[in-house]
Amino acid sequence: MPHIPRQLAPTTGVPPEFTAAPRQAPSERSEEVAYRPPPATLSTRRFVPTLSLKRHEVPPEKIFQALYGNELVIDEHTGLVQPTSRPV
Amino acid sequence: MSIPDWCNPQAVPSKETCQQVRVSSLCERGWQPLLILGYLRDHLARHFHDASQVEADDLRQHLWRDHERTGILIESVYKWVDGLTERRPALLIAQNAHRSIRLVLGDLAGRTGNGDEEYTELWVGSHTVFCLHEKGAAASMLANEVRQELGQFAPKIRRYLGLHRFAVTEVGAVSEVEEAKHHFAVPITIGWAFQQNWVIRCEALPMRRFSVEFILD
Repeated sequence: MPHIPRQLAPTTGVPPEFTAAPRQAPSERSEEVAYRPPPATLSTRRFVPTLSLKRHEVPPEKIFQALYGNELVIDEHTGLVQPTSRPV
Repeated sequence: MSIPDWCNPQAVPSKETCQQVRVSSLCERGWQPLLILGYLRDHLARHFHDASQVEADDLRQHLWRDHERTGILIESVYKWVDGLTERRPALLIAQNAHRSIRLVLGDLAGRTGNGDEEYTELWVGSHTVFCLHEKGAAASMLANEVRQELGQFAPKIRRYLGLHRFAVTEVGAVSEVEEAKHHFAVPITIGWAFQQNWVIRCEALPMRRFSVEFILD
């Protein structure tokens, strides 16, 4: 039977927190870093409303009212749009 | 010399050829929102193409040119991507929803001399022109220029294009664009309405009905 040398043990038996170097004490004067607000509020004006090109919607009923001067008048029996006597 | 088409957003015809307009296949099918979007883009590009037509002095340095280094970007909102406008002002045109308005019962307007049924329908919708600029005041000035141009020529536009209605219905507040925080925008809503008529031609008289049960019996 050939000779097999014995390997070292995986641990030395000492806990790792005892083998770590002692923590350095913080220096008196740390490097100053300018404050930067998060990107979401970087350019947002507080008193200016926001507008989304993606969510901007204009309902056709609003356009009809603006173009023809009145709201849609739907007949309850026929369900058709009623003509108005008001000049447009 | 080729005659440019006003439906083509890339071409700005010269004054000699403005009177000769070749109607494309899209225009042959009657009005649709895409054509009105193309017209608005074409109209605004012509307006900002010549400095003498721009009323605001501060905007005359931003002239539209048919290349990438144009002074003002005038495009549909579909072509806009982040960084496209850079530091330039821009006019982005978006198409809103449109709705059918029923004018008569069953859309049946009447019958032609041949006895064919004629139908009619009214479509109401709008487009929004977003006036973008880095400065809020400049965005407001740009919006005022667009509002005056389209609003004052609205009666002529409606007449020559054959639209039922065409008007600037609303100008929104100066707002910050959520998609581009360094730009301000003013939305201008342009409402329109066009009537669509069509005729259903019957190739033959309707067949007379007969009872199948009578034959089987």
